[in-house]
Amino acid sequence: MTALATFALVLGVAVVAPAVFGRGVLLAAVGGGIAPAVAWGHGYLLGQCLLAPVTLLQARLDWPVHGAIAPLLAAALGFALARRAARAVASTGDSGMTWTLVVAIALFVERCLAAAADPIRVSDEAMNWASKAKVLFAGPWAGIGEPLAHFVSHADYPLLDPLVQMQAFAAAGRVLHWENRAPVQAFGAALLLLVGAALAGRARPAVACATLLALLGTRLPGYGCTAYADAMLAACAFAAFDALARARDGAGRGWWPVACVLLAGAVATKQEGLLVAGAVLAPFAAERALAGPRRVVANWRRAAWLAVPALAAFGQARFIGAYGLANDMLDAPGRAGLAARIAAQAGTHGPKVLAHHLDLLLDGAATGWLPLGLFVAAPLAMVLRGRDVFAGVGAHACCACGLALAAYMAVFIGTVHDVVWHLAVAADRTTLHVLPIAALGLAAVAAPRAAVTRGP
Amino acid sequence: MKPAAALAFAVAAAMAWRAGATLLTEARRLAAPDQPAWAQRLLASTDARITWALGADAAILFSLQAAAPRPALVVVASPTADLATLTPERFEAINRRNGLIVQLQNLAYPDPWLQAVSDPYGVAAGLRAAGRDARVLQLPGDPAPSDAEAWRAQAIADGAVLWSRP
Repeated sequence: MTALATFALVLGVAVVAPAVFGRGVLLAAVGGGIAPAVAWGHGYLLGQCLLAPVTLLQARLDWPVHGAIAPLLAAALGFALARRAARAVASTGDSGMTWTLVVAIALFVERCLAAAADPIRVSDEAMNWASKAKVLFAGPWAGIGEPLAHFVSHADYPLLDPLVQMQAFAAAGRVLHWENRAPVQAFGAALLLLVGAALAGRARPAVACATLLALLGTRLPGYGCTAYADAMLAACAFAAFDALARARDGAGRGWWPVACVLLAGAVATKQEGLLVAGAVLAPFAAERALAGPRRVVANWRRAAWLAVPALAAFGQARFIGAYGLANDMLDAPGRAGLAARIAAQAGTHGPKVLAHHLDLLLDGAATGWLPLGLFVAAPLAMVLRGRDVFAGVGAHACCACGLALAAYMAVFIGTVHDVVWHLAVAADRTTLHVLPIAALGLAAVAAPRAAVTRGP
Repeated sequence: MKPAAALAFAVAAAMAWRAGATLLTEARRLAAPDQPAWAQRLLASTDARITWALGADAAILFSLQAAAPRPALVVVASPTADLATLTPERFEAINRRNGLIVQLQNLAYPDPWLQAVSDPYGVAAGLRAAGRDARVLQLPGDPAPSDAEAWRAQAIADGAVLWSRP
């Protein structure tokens, strides 16, 4: 089979099929009435999050069935569900944003195809992520302990990234070396669709378009066209934030379960996904709690959906336990626990961590001034417009980004490594996880769309 | 201008500046002469992409995969250094060798599984004694086994040898 045919097969099975499946599930859950960019963006993430456990089960049972069967059956189900649900509306509602999205996605796809010229062979994308996918795919499951211990770096990292790469291997029936980036890269494209649609719905058109292009100019798309899991985490976190905002805005009861599945996706993407998921959920949970304990008690059945991200965290802990794996930050042998290290090292590491993050926030090429702008504009908007600010998503975004970055800084303070080295290799990536939320929050809080006060 | 409008204007101006910077950077990137050709991106075989990436070292990977049985465990000497006598040249050589091993490991797995160990001949002999088949990849510049007569050598690429214990 030629390279192009294999690539087309991978795109069909590992990208298009999960997107069709997830879109159908989304439309069935929320009842349609959403822009195609929202349907396909959320649909792709939802489809991957729901198919990943099936892929894992298939590997766990050493199933002899061809790995493409499950995604294709799921796509058929998604197609049927979408036909029964109400049709999506025609566009993002703004031709300027539609064209900006076309340009942004075209530039991103071009970068992804340029990356495809180079096989996955070095750095974390090879040693942490693709290596784990290869071990799980090559199997047999009973024998994966040894390669996990001696071939995969950081084998304790969660499974969503390797599982979506496994779908690419399953499509071709063998281990691949560059095509398996495609399903990971598609998270970046889905993220752009979702950010564009959310900006179009919540901010004035010109600011929305400029903010999307500003996000495209950060370091996030650079990681998004690799097999690193950072853009995946940013996508799951943003999609969960968007779904929570839609649930709060009364866009449909189905958005809350969707948000919980996406929070599970964030938890299953990277170790720090639990931290990011908590930061995304916190402002919405606090708002609900402040509305009165009666409302919380009355909605306990809906709260049960939080079992989904909890299950993802539990499954991850079981996998780590089963193979005797350890996390260098959480289970450092012979060292105090993370909280104790944070307290002990705050004096020595705190100023360095703070200074490094301040540099990142001021670095336009790295973060596009998006979190910095949000942290300045949100308090100003609260002073100028009062409680109106809480009707949009700016205050929630500010809270989620602030919590996530504060938690990341605490983790860096408690590092077991040389703090300067650790900041240099990881701090920019962790900041990127909340950049899309910062972009939406900044545009929505500074230039809210007048006609829409309760979401698109 | 009202304060809220001034805030919106300031954010719009900052975002417009960043958007302009993005488009300029993208235009420069697209115009850069080192961009891979479309044929290289879409039509090239995986072996061709590996050859572009590894250069002459790709021959070691391809010949190793052809020569090693399936499944196979192959061990190779991991780069080591004495900090007291480490020179910049030696550091560069170790760095290059480590990079090559990492790439061979990731592009070869699972056939064969290449592991870097400090004493490859001892590890392979120990595994053979325990009933497991393991081979040793001797890269250019690596020592041959001290008891070479107890091993079978198979030259697989320029300067690379695969050693197995009968």
